[in-house]
Amino acid sequence: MNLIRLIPAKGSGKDDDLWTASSFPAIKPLALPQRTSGFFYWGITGMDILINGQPQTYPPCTIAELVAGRGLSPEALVVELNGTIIRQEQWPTIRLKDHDALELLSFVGGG
Amino acid sequence: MTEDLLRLGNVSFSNRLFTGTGKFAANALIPKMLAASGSQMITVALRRIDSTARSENILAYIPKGVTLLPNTSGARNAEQAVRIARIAREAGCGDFIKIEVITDMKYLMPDNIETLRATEILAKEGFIVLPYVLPDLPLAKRLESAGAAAVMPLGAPIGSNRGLETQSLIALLIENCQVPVIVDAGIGRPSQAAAAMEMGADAVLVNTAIATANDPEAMGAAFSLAVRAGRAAYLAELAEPSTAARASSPLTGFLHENQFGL
Repeated sequence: MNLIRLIPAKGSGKDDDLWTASSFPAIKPLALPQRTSGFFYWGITGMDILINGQPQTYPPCTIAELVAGRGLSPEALVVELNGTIIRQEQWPTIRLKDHDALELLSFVGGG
Repeated sequence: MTEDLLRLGNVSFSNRLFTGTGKFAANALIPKMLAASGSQMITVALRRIDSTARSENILAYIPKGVTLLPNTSGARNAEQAVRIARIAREAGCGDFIKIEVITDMKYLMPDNIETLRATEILAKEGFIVLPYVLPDLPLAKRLESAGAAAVMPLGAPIGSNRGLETQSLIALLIENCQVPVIVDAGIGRPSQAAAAMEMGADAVLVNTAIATANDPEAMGAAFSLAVRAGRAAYLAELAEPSTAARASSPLTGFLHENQFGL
């Protein structure tokens, strides 16, 4: 977990040399309370994670909660956490941590 | 007569038309096309989810008896291809992998060097590796030594429907490779698929020409017939062409002939 990050992490924004709103991906979600599992969390307790390469701040949750919260259908989904595939039966037991890199993938048409 | 099977890894295929799942107007057309063509192997791709679009599970449209051939499309180098292959296998797609490493976005030409590197790694990990390549004989031999289960030279750029533009180079692969040669990409017409099979290709992989036909189901059937015809012709061994005519009817005993042979 981290507080408001004053210096953007390298590679977190599109252009590391410019101070833009997108340099602070942690700030915007901090402004609103977020709801998960029946509790409200203020963003200050949120975790910065990478989802499909995009920095996002989420309240603490498991993979299953994140998947459900995004309205994704589990049967089509392949989840990779920090380079390791996580099977669906493990999703409810794995809590995401600050700086986790999550990939949400699916099979699509291709030749 | 023994059945004419193509063996790749631990799987035997009686149908030598491989198909792809890209570009279908609706996923529901895929099982229809598979039934009509009898294709026993079909490609799929792996992508990050698009959270703005309602995504369907494409695997639900592929009958269980059809072998999945996940591709590594989107990979720009060997490491990315290896990662995609491992994810696909871990996700339950089996051991087959079509290595597709592309950095040239205009012609979608495969990067043969990165493809070789990925093949070396994945074959050691027990994958049944089908590398998509430019038809280059020395490279094909290197792929073979690296453990590729087949080589898949392109006929023409992906989705171009231009047919066997690389025919003479593919012929070298067919003549000299120990592993099966599967012509992938560019085949636009059943006649072109038949031509590939006639020249001794072990299979063809067709996606765009079927998926974007007005009736993909019927076109799948048409390609299947063409592949069977071409394969049968190859096995029957084609007669040699010649410049001058060679009469097919006897040149003696003409009805008008007289004692002078005139």
